[in-house]
Amino acid sequence: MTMSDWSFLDAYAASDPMVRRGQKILSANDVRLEAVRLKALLVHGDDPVFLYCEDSGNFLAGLIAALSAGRDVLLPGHAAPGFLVEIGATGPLLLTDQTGLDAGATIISVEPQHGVVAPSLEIDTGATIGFFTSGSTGAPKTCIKSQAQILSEAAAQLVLWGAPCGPVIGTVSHQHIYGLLFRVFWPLMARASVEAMRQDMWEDVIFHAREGCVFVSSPAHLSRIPDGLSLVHRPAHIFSSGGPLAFAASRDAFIKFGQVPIEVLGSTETGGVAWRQQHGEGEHWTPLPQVEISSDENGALAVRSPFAGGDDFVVMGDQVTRHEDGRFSLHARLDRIVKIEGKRVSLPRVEEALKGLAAITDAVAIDLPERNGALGAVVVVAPEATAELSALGAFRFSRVLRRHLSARLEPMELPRLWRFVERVPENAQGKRLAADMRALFSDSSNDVPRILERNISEMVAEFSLELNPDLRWFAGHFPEQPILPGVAQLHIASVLAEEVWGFVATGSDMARVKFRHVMQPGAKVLLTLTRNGDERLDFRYLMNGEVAASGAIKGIEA
Amino acid sequence: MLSGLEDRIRHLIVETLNLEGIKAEDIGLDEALFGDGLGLDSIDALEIGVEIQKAFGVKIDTQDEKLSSYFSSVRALAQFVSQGRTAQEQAI
Repeated sequence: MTMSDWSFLDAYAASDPMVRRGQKILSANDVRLEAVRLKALLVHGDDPVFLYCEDSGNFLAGLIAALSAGRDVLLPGHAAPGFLVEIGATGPLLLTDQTGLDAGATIISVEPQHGVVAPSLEIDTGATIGFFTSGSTGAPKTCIKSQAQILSEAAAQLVLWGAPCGPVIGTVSHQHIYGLLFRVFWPLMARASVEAMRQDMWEDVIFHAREGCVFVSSPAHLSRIPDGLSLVHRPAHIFSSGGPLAFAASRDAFIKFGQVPIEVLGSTETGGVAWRQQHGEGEHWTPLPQVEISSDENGALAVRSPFAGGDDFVVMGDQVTRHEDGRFSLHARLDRIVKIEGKRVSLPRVEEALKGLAAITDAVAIDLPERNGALGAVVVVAPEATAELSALGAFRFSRVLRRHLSARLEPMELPRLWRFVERVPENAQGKRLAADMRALFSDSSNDVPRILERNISEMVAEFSLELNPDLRWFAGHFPEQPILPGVAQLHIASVLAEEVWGFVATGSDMARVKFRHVMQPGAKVLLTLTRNGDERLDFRYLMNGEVAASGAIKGIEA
Repeated sequence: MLSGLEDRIRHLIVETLNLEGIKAEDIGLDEALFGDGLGLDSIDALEIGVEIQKAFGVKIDTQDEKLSSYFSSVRALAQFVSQGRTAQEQAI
């Protein structure tokens, strides 16, 4: 198979199943018919189009249509309205199966058809596929891939892992490169069918599991497998990518699913780089076929492969040790070595020391430019230590921890500012973004909206809020279309709860937090706080009579 | 006069150390700043020392044996600062 060969699409006869959407089977012809219809809309014009679908069948039709019309395709990672506006994904340039996003969008919908047989579409191999990655500043950045890069990796995947022998069930989206390769291209190249729906809950993954199934997941999901799942069909493979998978999570997945997850190391820029299965802690990484590994003078991993797109080595941010057998160990990311008061401090080293304390189960260390470059720690306190935290208060408790840490760390490595959280914030791909960590430490002034009216009783408090545009939350998120981020919504609810009842938040119950509508500067919203026992508080934001966000905060009475 | 100085020192401690969740008024004048009291550590002492020097223009001699007693409480710090200022004024 040549590197940019789409002949696998033609291997499907018209009636062959190509996509499974629950009980519904969509044939190759159903997908082709929709692609032909869309292509006709796309042949005039050469701006790149934006493709965002929840359903992988619709996505596939949109992708084939755009590429065969010779249009470059950009894949937004999510569909927050402010984000779509910021990147220019508006009007007919937005191809989507979501009707509520933009009234002028080009809507994709693959449904079973009878009778008409569609012609096979010829892909313009020059058209590119682009992804959005979060740059270091938080502003979205595009990463453009050639078809050859993606197809060569999918072909290599088929060789390495074989053909999937059952449904390929994903907890990750096809809008990112990992999901696109594993959930869409891998089954297609094996002439199997694509599972249309992403599954967010393990209960649903299990429900869709069949003989020979494969789970395409991420550390965010694999570290949160509930107990007591009744698994009938063991997966043949579990894949994990998007961030490091803790050994404990790998072990837990093995105990619950009977397979050690295959971790794939990679990035949008390089594609897949290496893989491993942690049969023991700290297992070495094996480069994927066709991937050449090197390291630069700083020990940074450098990669050359057809998936990374070229003849040159691409330097990644990870520090590695290469072993004689060709495998390598992965160390800290180089960008995680920062200067604190002129001295180099390794954030992973601080994190390791933090996690080494009995009172701490998880930790992130972060340098804080807004606080003169001071070192901050975001930590999750072990259940047996929470009583001490509430007895001492956050500050005194942080000093107790610092005392313990001083046995292992130098003074400059000791965190100055501390945040105690229920869970370290992660984005949808399970990544711990520096910007999200820093937001936890931002100056607490100007972080609560103007209160127009308040109505407080013993159990319920209501606040009419006006989201004044100068709120500091609006500064960082999507300059052209600012929105009130989730972390801010939680923060505002916590601050007001503390003011009213002396309720000190220790974290949020993320399982119950739901963000439904974006809140923009100038919006008037009604925040209702309801006490739910001594240790929980429910919150709800209403905007124009509709629930914009809701959830629960855990805490203690001060 | 003295009480005003003590209050300034309490605010200086809260601001220097980013004592979120603790208000200046919450720090007792005779409360131990280290150990079982507020729980500050030696790095905190260093930072407070720097700020005290900046704010009040008093010199802190790290070799002074009584240094830890000056830092024992807000009241002790206030006394140290006011004595230091007087000493400097006399020197001029």
